[in-house]
Amino acid sequence: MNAVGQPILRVDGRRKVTGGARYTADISVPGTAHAAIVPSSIANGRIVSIDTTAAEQAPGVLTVLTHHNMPRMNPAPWSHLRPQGQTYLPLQDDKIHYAGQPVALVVAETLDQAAYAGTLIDIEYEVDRPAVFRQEMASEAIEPPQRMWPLSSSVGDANRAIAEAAVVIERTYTMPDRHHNPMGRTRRWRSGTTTAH
Amino acid sequence: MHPFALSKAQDLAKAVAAHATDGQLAFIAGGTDLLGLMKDRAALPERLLDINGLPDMARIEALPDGGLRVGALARMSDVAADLEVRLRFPVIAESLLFAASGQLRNMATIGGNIMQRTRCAYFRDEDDPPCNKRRPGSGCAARHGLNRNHAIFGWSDACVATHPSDLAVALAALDAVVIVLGPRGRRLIEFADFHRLPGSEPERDNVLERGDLIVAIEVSPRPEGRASHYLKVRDRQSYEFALASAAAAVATDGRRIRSARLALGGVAHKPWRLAVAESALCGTSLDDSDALKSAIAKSFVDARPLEHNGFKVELAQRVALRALQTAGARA
Amino acid sequence: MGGPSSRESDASFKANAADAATKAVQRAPEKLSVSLTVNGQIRALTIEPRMTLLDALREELALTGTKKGCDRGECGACTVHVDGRRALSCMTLAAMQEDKKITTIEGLERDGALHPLQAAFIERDGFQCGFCTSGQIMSGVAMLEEANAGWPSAATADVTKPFGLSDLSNTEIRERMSGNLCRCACYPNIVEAVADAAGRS
Repeated sequence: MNAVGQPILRVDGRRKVTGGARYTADISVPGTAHAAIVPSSIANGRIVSIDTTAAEQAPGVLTVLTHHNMPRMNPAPWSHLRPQGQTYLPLQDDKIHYAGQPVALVVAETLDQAAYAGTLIDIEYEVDRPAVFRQEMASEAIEPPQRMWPLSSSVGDANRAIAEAAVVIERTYTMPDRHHNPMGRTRRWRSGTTTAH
Repeated sequence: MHPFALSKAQDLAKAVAAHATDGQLAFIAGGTDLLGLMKDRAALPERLLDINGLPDMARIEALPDGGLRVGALARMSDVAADLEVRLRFPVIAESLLFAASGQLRNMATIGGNIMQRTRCAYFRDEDDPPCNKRRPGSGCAARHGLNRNHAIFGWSDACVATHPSDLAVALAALDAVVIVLGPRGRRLIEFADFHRLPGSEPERDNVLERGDLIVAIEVSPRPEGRASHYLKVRDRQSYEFALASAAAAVATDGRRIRSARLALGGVAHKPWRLAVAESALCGTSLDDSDALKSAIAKSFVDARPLEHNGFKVELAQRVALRALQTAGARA
Repeated sequence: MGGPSSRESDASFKANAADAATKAVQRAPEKLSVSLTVNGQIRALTIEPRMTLLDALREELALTGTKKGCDRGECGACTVHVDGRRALSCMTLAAMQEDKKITTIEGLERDGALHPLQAAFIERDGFQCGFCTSGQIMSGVAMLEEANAGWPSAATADVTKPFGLSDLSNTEIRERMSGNLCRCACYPNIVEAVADAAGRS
């Protein structure tokens, strides 16, 4: 443990400063196809119709997947391991749950071709009012049932600490509704086995 | 991006003719706004004409009379770094340095900069919400929507967008002239007349017609040039568009203002000249901040804030005041 | 530069999926023969006009050191040098770069020796995940040249005065590097790395 507290040079240092470190998207496999997600332009409602004819015929396009032809997916077993709230799997039905939800996946020889073909898809929506979180709605919050671990915990006495504080600052902060967990994904299929990078 | 054809212009007259006769043709110079618009699908030209090879359009000339002439293809960074620009009209150099990022300033041209289109999020939304600028007749989502970044002057119910160029604000303050070559020949456009108010045709940002190509911008020498300053206030310290900005230029007798030029950015569909304030500032002392404030306030009588941008009325006045004081310190 | 102002040409600029669809079906975009000079080597490509320099470098030339962060000119991860100047390769069409000299992160080393800024990034731990690092270094190298050439910045108090490399404070560095975002927030170490390289030049 004599490395702890020492300014050690990173082993990946040279590779990262020379462009030699390989990230998922840097891995090149011959004959790779590229997929582009077509996002929903509404936040709440359903797809009434989706016409992919023009997209399918666009240059370089291999296939276009929608809820009509997407293979059925199985939700994870063991319900106690699923995240709290609703389970949602993309392209399984016509329901729109959030703005930007994938409504089609275009697969083509290049990313430019896939992305452009996505713009040729004609979608008719039935639009419901979007749900927007506002501070006043906090009183309507529900406490979901416990799964594996207790949901609430209590440490210290916040109310007393605030009452006794020399300075109290009250502010409303808003955060974006998304955060990113970038996960590159390159998949290689070869006779019965699949390798994911 | 959508598929398009690309060719390279060799000849100015042919480039003008091509643009005049082909409604699906767009000029591309630095491409820093055009490619962004194309990625957002707010512009979908079938053909691009690369004008970077056109001769003699990138010069930065310090004119013998003390003025400035800048070719439309001059890059923002070159103009900002030019010592004569910095000495004669610091407000121009500063307006360029406060814009974009180092990389973008190397790529973007002077002509393209004043042609750039609004950053209104509805205009640039690929999901195509109501936007009369993008799709005439579809409405204006910003009018009663999220309009914090939008106009407080000169807007109409058809469009409340602002013009994003910083350089344009400086050029407006200095009464620059835009030199344009079109199908009917060369003409000069006063800067105040170059950009439009939205009115009922917000799809038209400026007065250029098909075939028109900006070849250069000229700034005449003026006593206010040297004591000038650009101040930009925005949510981030750098690399962000203005909430409110001001280009100020003054000529003084000691600490007394002989003449002032004041234009605002981030508040209207075009740079907003504070003509009434300029008159009121004549004879005012730079040390009398109450009088300065009062003069500036005269140009805000017709400010019409929207639901989310009321703060801009006060903010813009303070930005104008501080820009004026900094400019005055350079006299 | 030009004005699309007549009603007819405005209508032609409208996004119209059905109209575009017809054309897309009828015609695949023609490819162009383009010759690019990258890291001193001449490379011949056959590419669509819409291909960005970034995609050409990564997909056609297997130079994956340059990264795609936002693909819309907002993050700086794709920064390369075009004729020695820093530029965003995602906002550049490859087919428009024929008579230019392109330098990527792979081209900074000289005979296996790191550029002083690359070495400084290692010394000062100017990265964590490393995804922005290529862009940071390319931007930093060019930025030092700009400062050395006397370019002022928005952080320069008085643009009427000459500027030199010795005027490059940390505030100046931060302003000049503002076009390069780092989600790991390595900014303090990045600034120190650039300051080191500025001192040694």
